[in-house]
Amino acid sequence: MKLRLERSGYHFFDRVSGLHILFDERRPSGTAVSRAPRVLSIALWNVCDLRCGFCYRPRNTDRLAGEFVRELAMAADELGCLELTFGGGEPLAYPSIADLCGWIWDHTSLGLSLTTHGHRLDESMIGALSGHLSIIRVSIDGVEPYYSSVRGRRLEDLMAKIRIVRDAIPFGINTVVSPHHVDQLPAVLELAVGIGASNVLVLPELTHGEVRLSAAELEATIEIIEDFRQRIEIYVPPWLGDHLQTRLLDTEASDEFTFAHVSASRELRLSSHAGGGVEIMDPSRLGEYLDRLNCVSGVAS
Amino acid sequence: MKVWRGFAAEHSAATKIIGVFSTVEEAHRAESLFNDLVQAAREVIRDGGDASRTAADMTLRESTSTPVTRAQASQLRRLGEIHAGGREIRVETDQVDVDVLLEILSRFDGQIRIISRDH
Repeated sequence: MKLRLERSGYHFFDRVSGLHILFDERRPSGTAVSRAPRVLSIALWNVCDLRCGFCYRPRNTDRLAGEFVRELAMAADELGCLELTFGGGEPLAYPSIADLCGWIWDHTSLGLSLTTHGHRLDESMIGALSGHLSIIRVSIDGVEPYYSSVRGRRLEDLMAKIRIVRDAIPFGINTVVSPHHVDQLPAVLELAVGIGASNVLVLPELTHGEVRLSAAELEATIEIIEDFRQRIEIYVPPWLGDHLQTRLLDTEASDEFTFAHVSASRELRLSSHAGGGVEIMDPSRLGEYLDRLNCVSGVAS
Repeated sequence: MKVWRGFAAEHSAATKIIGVFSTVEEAHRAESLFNDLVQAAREVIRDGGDASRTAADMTLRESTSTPVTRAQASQLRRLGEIHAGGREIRVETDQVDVDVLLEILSRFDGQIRIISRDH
């Protein structure tokens, strides 16, 4: 297990099982605390072969070089980061993605996950990724005919690929809940139960960080989540967790540095939609950029 | 101590904690002490308010190496009774706070394994 010294305590993490053990009875001294976040999200590039209406990726072809990502991973690992998550753009369309995942898995102690639309998965790619990812997250925002109308691809085709994935790589489902389509959520949750997903991440649609659901739709979303929570693990963003009857697990101190994001334009931010970013010129000096980000943002300093 | 399972920002505490003891008797002693604590914790919670004068609280304080906080009493109540099977005690839980359980298992020299529930 990897040990991270952090503001919350002594944090052990196993990247295969996802097990976390946090000894929070004692806390490391300030100088020993990790400068990196627990999780570093990386947008490998902004290119995607689908055109989903709600997607907030920048519509350009910005791309991080593979060597840049490898250096970034090495630096993040040394600074005490626990996990990388790949997104974008479509990460499975990124050149040599399986090689990149394999290299990071072999050369660092980082957990590694990616979020994909899933349509590029095939037996060859799944075989190459297997053993080099902690979990793969597949986006499914509804069932037919809604799915095809959003993705421009057939859900039936994706399900065939998921049946191959589930025997090789732990997988979860991400589902975006959009205005006027809350009724898709129970269908997606039923599908997730049926296909054997490890969990479902429910994401109410955002625009520039603002929730697009009406109050009634948000309330309906919460009711559906509560109805299904006994049947499958459901994750929600922290702000939505405040509305649930069962409180989310409190796993960090209030001043913990939990998350940062690197855009495909090499900008380091506190989230994918946050402002006040810092451009990364040299990924091996990630610690300096993280320090600057925290100074700019006034957090975790 | 907190234990949970998950990747990236999402997490679940669905874990399985297994204590393996050198003898069946040791396993049953750990089971017995832990369940006494659970019972005492229930009484402390039920009594409410200042629990420091109750008999149940005394049981808690005398049975553990460090003073038992009200949060730990809540933890015990949520975990509930445990049951030994041979030399093993297996607990499946969604709780992140499990330090009292681990302390009891280790007190009787149990080898402790913590794994995700679906492994």
